[in-house]
Amino acid sequence: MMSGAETNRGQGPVSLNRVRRILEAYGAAPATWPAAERAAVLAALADDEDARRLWHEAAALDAALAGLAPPPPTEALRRQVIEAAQASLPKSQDGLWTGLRPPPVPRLAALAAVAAGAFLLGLWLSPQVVQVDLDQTALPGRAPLAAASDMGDALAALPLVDPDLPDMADEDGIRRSAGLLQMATIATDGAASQALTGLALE
Amino acid sequence: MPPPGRGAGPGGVRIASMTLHRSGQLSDSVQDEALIRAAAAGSQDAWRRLVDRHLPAVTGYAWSMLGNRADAEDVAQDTFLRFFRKIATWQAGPPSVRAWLHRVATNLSIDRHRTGRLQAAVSSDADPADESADADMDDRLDRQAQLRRALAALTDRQRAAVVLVHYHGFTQQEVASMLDTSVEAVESLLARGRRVLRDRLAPILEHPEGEE
Repeated sequence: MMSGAETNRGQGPVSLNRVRRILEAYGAAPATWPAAERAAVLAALADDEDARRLWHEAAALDAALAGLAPPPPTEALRRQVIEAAQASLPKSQDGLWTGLRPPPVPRLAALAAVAAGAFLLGLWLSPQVVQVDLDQTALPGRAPLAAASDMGDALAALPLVDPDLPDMADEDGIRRSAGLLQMATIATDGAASQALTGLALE
Repeated sequence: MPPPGRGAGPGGVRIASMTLHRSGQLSDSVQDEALIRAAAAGSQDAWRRLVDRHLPAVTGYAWSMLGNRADAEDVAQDTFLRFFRKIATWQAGPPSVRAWLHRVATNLSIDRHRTGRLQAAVSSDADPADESADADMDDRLDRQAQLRRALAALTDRQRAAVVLVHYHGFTQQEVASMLDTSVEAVESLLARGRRVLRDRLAPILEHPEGEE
């Protein structure tokens, strides 16, 4: 038998100290011993009287501990545990919890289509496509869009609130319409960004 | 009782439930994973079966940790609610379902001890059924009470290690994972814990059950 070594990982004989340590910690049942040392401890028990005495001490403590009998759960607890889970989620007609299911595919597809549409609309209306000099969008008697300090000013500059709607055929009218388009782009880009941000967060 | 020989199983040792736990672990895990998938897909029956498979062990473990039924049932219920919230995103182990549940119950029990939220002291917790026991049961009940007091004398981590290994059949590696420590530290917790138990249970050890 080895002497002095505190652990033995399947490398031959095991020391009496190690046998004592294993029996003190894990008890007398070989199934609880470290797997790598099990065979060596069994060999020590077969060969060594002191090891067998230690084993009997451990077995006596195991026997005393085996007298502990935890009570089974009450039926009330079982019911509470089952019902608490059921109560936390909506129940569908077929007796399944709807809250645990993944979202149905059609809903996902619709969400993806809306996101893709918003993205494409944003591309189509992007400022890179419509180049407008905002200083040229001023209506007679109104500040140009570029000078609008906030959304209220910008809306006031739009021809939608002007009783004299421009003739779309003349050059000024085209410039004003371009200004409208610019505003629509800003609004649409914002919506698309929000939609994409929402998707990313989901 | 003779010590086990070379190649022998744990025959003769009185912790039979431990052997049962270990021999059935693999198939139990496979069944648990299947039930979790079914429960996550919405099957209430699968959830009920998971509860029936594991609630007794979790409640018993919490009772061993806390020493009274009311706290044990609170911890068991809380453990299962956390488990239920987890099953939609559950990934096959390790840890096994059994190990995961015991880990959560360990943390909840230790937290309860630490924050002093125990509902009843160990010595004052008596089951109503116990009171109607006849005189023949007195000796066994007295031993039960001694055992519970002895377990209560351990530190939370010593008690968790001893109960998980000796009553619930977990390996050193599993217990180390549950307690966020090393296998060597688990061995120390077990050795120190069993030493305290041996001292506290000296009267029982000197006069084993059934001996005059």
